[in-house]
Amino acid sequence: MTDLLTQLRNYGSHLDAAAVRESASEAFMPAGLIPADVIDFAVRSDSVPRRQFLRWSAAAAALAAAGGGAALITRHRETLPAEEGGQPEPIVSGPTDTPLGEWALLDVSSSALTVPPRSDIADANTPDSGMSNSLEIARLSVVSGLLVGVGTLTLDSAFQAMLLTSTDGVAWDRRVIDSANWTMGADVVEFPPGNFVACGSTGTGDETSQPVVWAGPSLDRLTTTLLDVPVGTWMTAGFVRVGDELLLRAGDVNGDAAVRYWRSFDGRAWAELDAELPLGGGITIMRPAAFDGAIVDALAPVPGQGRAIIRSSDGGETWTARQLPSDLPAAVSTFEVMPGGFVAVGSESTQDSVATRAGSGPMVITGTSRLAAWTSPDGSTWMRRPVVGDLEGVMQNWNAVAQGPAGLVGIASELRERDVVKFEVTSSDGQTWQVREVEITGQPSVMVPLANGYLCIGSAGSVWDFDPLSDDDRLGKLSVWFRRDR
Amino acid sequence: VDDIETFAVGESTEDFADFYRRAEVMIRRALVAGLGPIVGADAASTAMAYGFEHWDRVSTMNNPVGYLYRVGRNSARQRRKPLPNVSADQPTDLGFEPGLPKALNQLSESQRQAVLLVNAWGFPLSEAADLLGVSISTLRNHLDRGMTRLRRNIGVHHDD
Repeated sequence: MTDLLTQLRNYGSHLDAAAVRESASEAFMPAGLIPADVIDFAVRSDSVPRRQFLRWSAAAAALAAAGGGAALITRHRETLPAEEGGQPEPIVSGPTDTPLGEWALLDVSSSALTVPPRSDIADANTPDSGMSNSLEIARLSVVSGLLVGVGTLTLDSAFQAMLLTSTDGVAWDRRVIDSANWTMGADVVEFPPGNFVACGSTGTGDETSQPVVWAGPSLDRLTTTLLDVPVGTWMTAGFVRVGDELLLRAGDVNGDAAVRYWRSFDGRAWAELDAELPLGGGITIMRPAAFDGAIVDALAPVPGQGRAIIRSSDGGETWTARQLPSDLPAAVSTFEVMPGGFVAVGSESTQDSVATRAGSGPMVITGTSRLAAWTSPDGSTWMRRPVVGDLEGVMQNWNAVAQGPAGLVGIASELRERDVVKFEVTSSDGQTWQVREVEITGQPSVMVPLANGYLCIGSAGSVWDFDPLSDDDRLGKLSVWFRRDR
Repeated sequence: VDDIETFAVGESTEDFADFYRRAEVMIRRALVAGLGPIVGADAASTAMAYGFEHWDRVSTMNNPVGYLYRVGRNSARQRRKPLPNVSADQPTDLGFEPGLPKALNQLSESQRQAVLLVNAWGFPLSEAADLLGVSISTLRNHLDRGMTRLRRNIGVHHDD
């Protein structure tokens, strides 16, 4: 073997390649690290919110989300509508002067939806991101007539699993349910009736986490069950109910056994399924769905077959895989079951280049994203459906999507000249889409359908970090928007 | 370097595109050396995004590369991952002992950064010290101790 210094130089090249490979593995930027080239038009990004901006910049410089990065958003609605015998929906009326079908920012200033900046960061006067005090909400559900959000409260570098609850969308309570939690993939449902069940991950993410379930007859009496797996980088992907069973899907992002399912009949005792899932590594945290009595697990990579949709018709005992068309992008963020079949929405990477300008010079992001949707009657054949063909901007991203009284409603954004423009996309069947701009200035991240509209929660202001170079509000805070349809 | 004033203010003469081409690889390598390629590449992306967003002010700092390295390092706090091992299905002619990644992982983060920046990627001591926000003598200490420990870990007693 060559001398140590030569070995180090060779290892340096190996590390360079590994880092670029990591960048290239980001689902939203399959082209990876691309040298920047200046193009003709220029837009500014001064107004781009931080988290969104990071995601975009990753296209040029290489995220994770979160992790954090990337917010993977799915619809969730487990309780039966009141007319079918379920619990009553929470009553959210919204401002009375807002017309039907329009989004209104609710006044939640008296609620527990803010946290102060982290004291040591403020004192040090250096920028920080990702670990600052924050409220992050992973999923919003209606449970026993309550709006319940599950997420992570980060205070002075400590992660805590939290529940946010509200009866009207305006007054919110916050409670910590565990000492450590990694937000991504958390979920909360009512199962069986009268029992709350929430899931998340302990630890802080990388190599320290295990899936965990919190269950109990009320949010004040939850017991914690740590699922028996080796510590790893576990993310839960949420619950799916089939018959009288509740199944939980979780995966170890970096582990060999990528995806596992657990089954429970009471929400408290969980048994891992023996089934061998035909899945490879690189799991998605897409939530499984129930369809025609089957469990459908979408868009997972299957060894030798590319990505596939896998399905079980016997409660998860056995699974079959169907290969997905290769042009269905990896960056599918939401998988919905609608009356006509499946709808997958996500983003397509494009070869467009974006010039942004800061200070004296431009920066070019090569490769942008455009909203896309695909429909399938049964998961085997898919058709691409145009979503936002006539918008002007670039870097389109879904913020939140939900299926409710007006069909499938999504909030999305795009970079247009100097601003990030929010727009709403709606569809009754996933095949044809209507687009309109909306006055939403924050970053909606989760949405829940209600009997009379849609409620959306997300960040507003500079919530992700303390930044000594910024004049932004230093509070971490969540905002709530409501669209009344009835 | 804990105080923003340390980075001080000077005259901006470089546009961000040029800065990106020059500095991204430096910041990425420093973060990858300390945090591994997964978290390191992500942190570098965060740092460059921050630099871009605040370029009008970052560009006037005396040491914008060092400042943005700190931004990236802060963003990745508690998110360390090991450097990649060489798995059995990779070619064996990568030009380094299979035990080298493990031996590097046994170094402290500062030692690993010094060893990799200087001896793997050829950074001059002054440039690596500026990047990491340490003095040259401190960097040299990390480098010497890191190389000594690396040789011991990998079972090599001299460089040639």
